[in-house]
Amino acid sequence: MTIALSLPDTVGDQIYHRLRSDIIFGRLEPERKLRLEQLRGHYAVSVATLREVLLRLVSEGLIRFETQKGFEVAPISARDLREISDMRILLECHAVEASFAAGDIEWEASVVAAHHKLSRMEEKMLAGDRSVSEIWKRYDREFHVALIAACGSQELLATHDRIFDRFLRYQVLLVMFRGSVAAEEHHELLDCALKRDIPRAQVLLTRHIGACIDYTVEHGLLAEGSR
Amino acid sequence: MNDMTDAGQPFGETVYQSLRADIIMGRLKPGQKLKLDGLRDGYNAGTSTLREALSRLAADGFVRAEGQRGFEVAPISEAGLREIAALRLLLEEHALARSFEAGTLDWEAGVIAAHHKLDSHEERLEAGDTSDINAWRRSDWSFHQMLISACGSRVLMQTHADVFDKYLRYQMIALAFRPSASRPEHRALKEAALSRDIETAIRLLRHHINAGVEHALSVGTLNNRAR
Repeated sequence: MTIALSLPDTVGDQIYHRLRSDIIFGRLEPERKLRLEQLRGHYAVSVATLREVLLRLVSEGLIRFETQKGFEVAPISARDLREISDMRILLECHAVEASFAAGDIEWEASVVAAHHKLSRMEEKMLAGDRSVSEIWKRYDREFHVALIAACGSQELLATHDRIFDRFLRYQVLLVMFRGSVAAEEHHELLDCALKRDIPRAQVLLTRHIGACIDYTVEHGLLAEGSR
Repeated sequence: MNDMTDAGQPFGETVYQSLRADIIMGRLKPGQKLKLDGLRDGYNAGTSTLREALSRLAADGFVRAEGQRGFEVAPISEAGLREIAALRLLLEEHALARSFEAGTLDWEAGVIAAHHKLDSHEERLEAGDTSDINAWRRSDWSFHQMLISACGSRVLMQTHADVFDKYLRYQMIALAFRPSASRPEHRALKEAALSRDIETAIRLLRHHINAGVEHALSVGTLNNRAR
């Protein structure tokens, strides 16, 4: 999630980041129609710029385009979540192997720092303070990215990035908070990183990521979705 | 590989697809400047449509947007090829396993048909007929895609397709083909698919992709154009 920490280059970039964030954080709900004229009024840009932004988000799987219907926020389904989870597990487990093998002291420090921030937010969430929900999700992401950051492949990191954001949208929409169990898993993952314990990290990640689809199924939160 | 002409696509989609295909097929070279004025006639499109398309291609990784300097075709490098090949292998292996498990008789027939076309192109290449490299490349893509098509995950198929396009660009630029080696590899892959021998298929695929990478690097054209 390129949460714009760097200045966006153009007006188009600004709108792209805003729309993207609005979709991931559930402010634009699944299947909501995105009409060019309405958006144009709201953002005061050309239709061409809007189309570019929308089509970029289509290629990221966050928006859907259908001939008769136009643009709409991508729908959600259990099937889609399962596919995204599987992909995230595949990419993250693979990346963790290369990252742990290559990671040096700088990388360790970045993992420790990222975990520290995450764990502070988890404490707040556990104490009932839900106002930090968005920051908590951002730090969760930063921690998982830090774990794999030394994997040595920009392509792998970029692909993981996109999948993570699609996964994150589900977590937000389904108000997923697994409490202390998830916090404990993060702590164990930190431990694995410092000990370079790859197999244990992979088992943990598979369980950690897979738990979201279990949670969804348990609580009957999502329709299965079409084939 | 995405279709080039899709009726019912949003306006501007064909320009995007044309530019994308030209970059992948090597007609637009790595590092080549993409000036809007120069492209207008060739793509029969206005400046804003072109800029839209180029921004999207930048997000895809095929174009580099350098602020003041404008757009240029993304550079290539040995490291980039290795990264993309490794990612392709990761995704394709995983998809193969799932596809073999789920594949039906129709899927088998699809694999046989795709292989038949590929084999006939490679036979011609082997005999020295290089008049239709593009058709051969497309049949190679179709064969690999058919092999994984029963994997049951749209997310996996789409992610793999995007990565394959990037891999394909490297192969097109390198002008690398080794029909006498790849022909038996493809035949063996087909056979492994029909007998659902996943271990053999994975071993073959690993060798196939690695040999393809080493060959592309050894041919020399890639190094001359790499930045």
